[in-house]
Amino acid sequence: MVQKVKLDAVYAPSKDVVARDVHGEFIIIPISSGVGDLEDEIFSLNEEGRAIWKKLDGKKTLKSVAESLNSEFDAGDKQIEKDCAGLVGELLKRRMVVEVN
Amino acid sequence: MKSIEVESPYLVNSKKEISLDGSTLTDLIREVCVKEAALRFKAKGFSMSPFIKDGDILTISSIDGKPVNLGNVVAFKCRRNNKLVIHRMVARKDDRYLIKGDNCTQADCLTQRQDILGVVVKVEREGKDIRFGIGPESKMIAVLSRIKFLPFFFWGLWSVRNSLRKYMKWQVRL
Repeated sequence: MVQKVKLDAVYAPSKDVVARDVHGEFIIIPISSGVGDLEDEIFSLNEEGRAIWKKLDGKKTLKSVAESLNSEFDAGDKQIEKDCAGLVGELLKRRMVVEVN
Repeated sequence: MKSIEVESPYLVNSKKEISLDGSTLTDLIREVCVKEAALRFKAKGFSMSPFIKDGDILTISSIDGKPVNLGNVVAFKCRRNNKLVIHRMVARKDDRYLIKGDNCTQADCLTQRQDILGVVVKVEREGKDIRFGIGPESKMIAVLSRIKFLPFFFWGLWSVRNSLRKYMKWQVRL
């Protein structure tokens, strides 16, 4: 089931992922069926994705996350909101983030 | 190690190999094991040959609460050189473990349990599970390795196999 991304919702990284910076590259390893797979299932985020991920702290709404990124990226409010929603949508689909109630 | 390709402008993937050094891999194993999960990655090196070969895919699982048994292949951080090592436990004394590569002449060092990150639970080679070397026979391998008899054992096996082949060919000719 694909969850709809809401700007007023709060999201946080799932407990079933390991994420870290490796030589300037930000990688996310999902743990599916109890295994983190460095051979077949490893994701990386670009600079914008990394900035969004780091702000998904389970406290701020996605809208506030987008607002806080305004000063870092010169892309316009609407585009940043769209990117935040786009990334969170992808991450939700792969269960790498969860909605915090 | 390769990352998978996703069709998204947000999750970038170039199908390029991501190279992880021993220190990063150590941290990842530790972090995954804390979550009581396992980590699957490609082995490098020849020190565990022939049971684990360069390029085999290993799955390392947490040892949390479980005993480390003689013959187990464990991942640990060697205190001598601070490197990640994946070798076999060949002896135990109190709370210290003697660990040695199957293809090494010398043992690594006496290691304490807290330095052991996880245990190898699966070896894959060319898409197939390789069970020989991490099953019940691993105790015997550990004993042979400790007394430095493993190469002679393999030489013996190889000689017997060759003799049998010659005998079979001779039988077919008759």
